[in-house]
Amino acid sequence: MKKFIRFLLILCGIIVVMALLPFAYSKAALAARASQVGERNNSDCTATRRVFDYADVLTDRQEKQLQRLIEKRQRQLGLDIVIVTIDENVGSDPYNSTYNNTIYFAENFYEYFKFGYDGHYSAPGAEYTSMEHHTAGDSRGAGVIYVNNWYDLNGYAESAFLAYRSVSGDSVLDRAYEVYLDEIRLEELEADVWEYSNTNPYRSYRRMINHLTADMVGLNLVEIHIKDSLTILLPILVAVVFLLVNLGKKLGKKTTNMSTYVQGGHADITAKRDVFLSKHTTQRHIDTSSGGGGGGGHSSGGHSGGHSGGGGRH
Amino acid sequence: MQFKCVNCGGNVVYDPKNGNMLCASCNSLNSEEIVKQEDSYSCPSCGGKLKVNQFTSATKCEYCGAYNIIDEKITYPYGPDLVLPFRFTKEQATELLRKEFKDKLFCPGDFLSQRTLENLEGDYVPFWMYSYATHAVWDGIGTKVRTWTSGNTEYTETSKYQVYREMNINFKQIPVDASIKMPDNIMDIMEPYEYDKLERFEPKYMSGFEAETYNQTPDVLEPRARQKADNDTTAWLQSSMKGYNSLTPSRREIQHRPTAREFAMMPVWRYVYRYHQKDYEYYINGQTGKVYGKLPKSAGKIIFSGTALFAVLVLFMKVLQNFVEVF
Repeated sequence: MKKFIRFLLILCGIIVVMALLPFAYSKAALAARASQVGERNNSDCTATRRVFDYADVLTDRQEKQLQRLIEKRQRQLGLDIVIVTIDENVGSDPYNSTYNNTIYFAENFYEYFKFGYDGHYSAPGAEYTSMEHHTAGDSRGAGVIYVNNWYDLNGYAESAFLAYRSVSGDSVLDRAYEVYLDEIRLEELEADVWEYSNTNPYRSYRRMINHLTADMVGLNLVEIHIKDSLTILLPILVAVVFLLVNLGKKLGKKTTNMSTYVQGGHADITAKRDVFLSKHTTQRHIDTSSGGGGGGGHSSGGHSGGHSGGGGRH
Repeated sequence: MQFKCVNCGGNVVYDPKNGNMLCASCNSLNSEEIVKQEDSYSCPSCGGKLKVNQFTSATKCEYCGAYNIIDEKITYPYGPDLVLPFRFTKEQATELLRKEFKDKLFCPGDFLSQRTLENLEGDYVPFWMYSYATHAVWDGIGTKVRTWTSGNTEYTETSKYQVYREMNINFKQIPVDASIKMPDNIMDIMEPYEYDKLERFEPKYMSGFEAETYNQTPDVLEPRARQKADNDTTAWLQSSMKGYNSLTPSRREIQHRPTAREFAMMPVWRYVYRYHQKDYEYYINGQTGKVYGKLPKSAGKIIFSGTALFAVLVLFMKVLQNFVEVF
């Protein structure tokens, strides 16, 4: 039994170390990025809150926890990070999901509070008019906004994620904008966020922040999400392997060899001949058909960075 | 026959620890005298009937615990030529077993307990040992294949050779166990023994142990010895023809000329553990300490360990999952 407990402790230790390595890496990477980012510089934005839970899907404690996490990440990443939940139809057609009006809501929201880590620049014509009114333009101010709309559009719900480039044109602060011009990166983030958007909104938003953080420090090592299925499958696998290894033990193997019972330990070779008889060579043509190149990818910059539409069901 | 102490009359047995005869009662060394019984199958100490079968050559009296040697089974035509005395005592054999099994998780609780270890007994196992002067010839075709690529063409060159090998091998004392109760495959695994410790047979080595004379005659068992010699000869031939991709013999001859045949007693500790109406047998080479045995498994321990491991890991993973996402 002692051995079993020791085995358990060692196993847990290995898992902890494996989990802590990327954790340590992320700490270092975030510290490195934080050293490149200055203090927040935006006197136009008076809002201190970053979590706006109008749909009331979070508890007070969860709101505070998210707020604290955002404040910490904001300083490290040089981004204003805004999370908004609403439960209202912002003009979308329940029978036509082509146009996602929650995106416009997000734009207006960002505009209204003049978010942006390094200040806010409102492009001409983009100034806030009203939440219902669609504004457009090339506004700036380093940050991201995620709006999760819980309104049921015939079994469908909308959300929007927007990334804004910096006012100053700083490449470090522009990273979020650059990264999410890539639709694939944006979809990866959305997939992560939506996984728990129905069942655990707090976890879902926390994931958004973590995914964003991982994308900002480069390598995705920082972003470890242990899937629910893994928390069951891995223990099953380890338990099965453990049982098989321990059940299969049998002592004793054959330890004699061809010289064990030979006097002197070796055979006496009295004749050894290797006479060359013939040689023939065959040849075969190797097909080297080359593969075709992949189709060219393309990306297009939105008026304020990447954007997303659609979302999970609520 | 029985070895008795001239000092106290106690039973004197062979002590593997120091290679002397030791009185089990007064610890006197080499104080033995031989006491012969009129009836070979009765204990000279207590007169009790000895529990023997047709092959038993040494046994313990189940009434008084004294070790007896059956005269008829250690003299012609049943007497051994050689004996390899025990090197490990019962206590040392017990330690070897404990060492091998102490880390095994699924052993039942009373496995190797003091009570069950009473069943550990030292057996001299009868072996026939065959020696051969072997002559082997191999003649045939060998091919070597070489492949290389140049540009878009792959070339394969096959070279053919006439291969001839002839060798002499002196096999000495290939052992084949002559006991029906000892499984052949396990006795093969018990090998090898250190032959340089072989002694001319003397009855004193058997005092303190169980023993049998051969159950089968050497002619009956010789095919097994020849098979072992054949296998080793084939391995020698193959090792002398390395480098060929294929070998096709046109002539292959292996001849074993018997040069000697001896009857020897080899030391084996045997432990039988009964668990859930099934016997589990463990064997220890009494000279080298090599252990053979299959683990008995406690279903309760297996279920508990598997479930506990699973539960702890799930809990741990859930905590880790939460921690990672909060970092």
